[in-house]
Amino acid sequence: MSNLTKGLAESLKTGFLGMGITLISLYVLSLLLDFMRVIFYKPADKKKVETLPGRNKEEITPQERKEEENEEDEEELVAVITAALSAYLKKPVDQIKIGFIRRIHERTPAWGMESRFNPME
Amino acid sequence: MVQSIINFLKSTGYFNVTPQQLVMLLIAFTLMYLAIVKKYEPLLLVPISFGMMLANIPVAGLMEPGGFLYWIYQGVKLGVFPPLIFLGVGAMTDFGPLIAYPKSLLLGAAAQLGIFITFLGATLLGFNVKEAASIGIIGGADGPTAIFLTSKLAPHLLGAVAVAAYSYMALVPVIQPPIMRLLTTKKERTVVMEQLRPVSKTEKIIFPIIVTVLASFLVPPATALIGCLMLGNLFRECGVVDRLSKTAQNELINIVTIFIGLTVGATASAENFLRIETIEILILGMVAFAGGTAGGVLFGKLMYVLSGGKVNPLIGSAGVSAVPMAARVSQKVAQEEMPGNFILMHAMGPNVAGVIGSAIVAGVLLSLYSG
Repeated sequence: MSNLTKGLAESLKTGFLGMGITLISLYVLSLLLDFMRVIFYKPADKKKVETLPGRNKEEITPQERKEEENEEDEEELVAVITAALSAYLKKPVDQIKIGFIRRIHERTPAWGMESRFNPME
Repeated sequence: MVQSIINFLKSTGYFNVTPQQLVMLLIAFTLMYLAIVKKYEPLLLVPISFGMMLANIPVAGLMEPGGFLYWIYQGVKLGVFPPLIFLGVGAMTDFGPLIAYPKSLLLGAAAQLGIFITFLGATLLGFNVKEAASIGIIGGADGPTAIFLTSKLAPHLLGAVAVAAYSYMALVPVIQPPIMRLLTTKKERTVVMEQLRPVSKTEKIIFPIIVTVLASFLVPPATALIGCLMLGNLFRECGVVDRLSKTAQNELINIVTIFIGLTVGATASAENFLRIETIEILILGMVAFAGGTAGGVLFGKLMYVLSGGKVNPLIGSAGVSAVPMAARVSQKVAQEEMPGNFILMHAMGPNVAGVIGSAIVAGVLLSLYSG
């Protein structure tokens, strides 16, 4: 067997073995992750939220009143952010809709922040 | 007095420099220019190019036994630094998108195809199997893995392999898009993927433990890499060791990056680097990157078909590690086709899967050829 044929045979063997082991092991891992989802992931129960009965204003507890006040604060926050975005993007306020606000600094990895601050052009 | 001056002049680098060392200095200056002015992977290429310069200063002998860089280089030679880099990478990585969409692991596996295509090419060019494995791993687009494997299988190629790996990683936005467009149709590129589900904290904590056990049992030589990657990630996700997590993703990784860059660059001495093999390695490295990208995109196309058009094949190219650049390239190409399409988080799944995939491939190659 010539060196070329030997090299070719060795490469094919390594290729099949390497790709095979990698694909199979990562496939097994994906199955384990699917299994983990079944055990640990509980989708948010929307029905429960929707079926809460309506109540009179007198029945609202101080805790809930505090939450309402927080919501008012959040409206102010949305207004401020919308104004800032409007100035930054040079777009009228009515063309900007804030879907949700999420604090990103505490959990976002360093390169996630880099991606946000310096988007690829 | 005159004799003393002559002796001094004879001991200077100006007297002892060889033409090969001058060429190497020129290469080092070019890499510095690319890193500083063009911003090609500057965090790595600045120390690598400076190390290359130091190693080619005549008479200094920094990489000879007893020299300053010789001792630091032991961290590379003994396989200590790459796992420490992985510790920081793990602490910086959010595996959430991968846990939310586990099938993206398969894309991370498919994108390793370039490694084996290059292995074949290198063998046919006359490299022995250990050298071919070290050259092929460039296709994993993962610097620490490439350095880890090459330092064990073919240390004499370390400089060329590291320079090729990091240069091509910086060129991912140039190399990948034409291949991605060539292999996909406009319809495939405009697929809008479903939003990923939220991932619970428990899943994120269990994930690094499962991966470490599963992968390390399968390919024990890769335990240091995968173990450190996942330890860093556990630091990040468990929420009780924030100080360790911050150290791993900042001070530790920065210090080790300086050491690894400087000493890997210093292995590129004139006699090791100025050879026809270096040109061949650079060309094969390009083949490795292109092959990995093609493998990921083609598998993405297969998933597009099998899922009934729900998977955008562009996320497949992100399987070649190069975190997070490759995922950003997927996003950029998708957005060029459809400005409102955001596939960045979907591409992060295969992107981080590629890191695990290339570490497993390194383990397989070490199992086969380290003896």
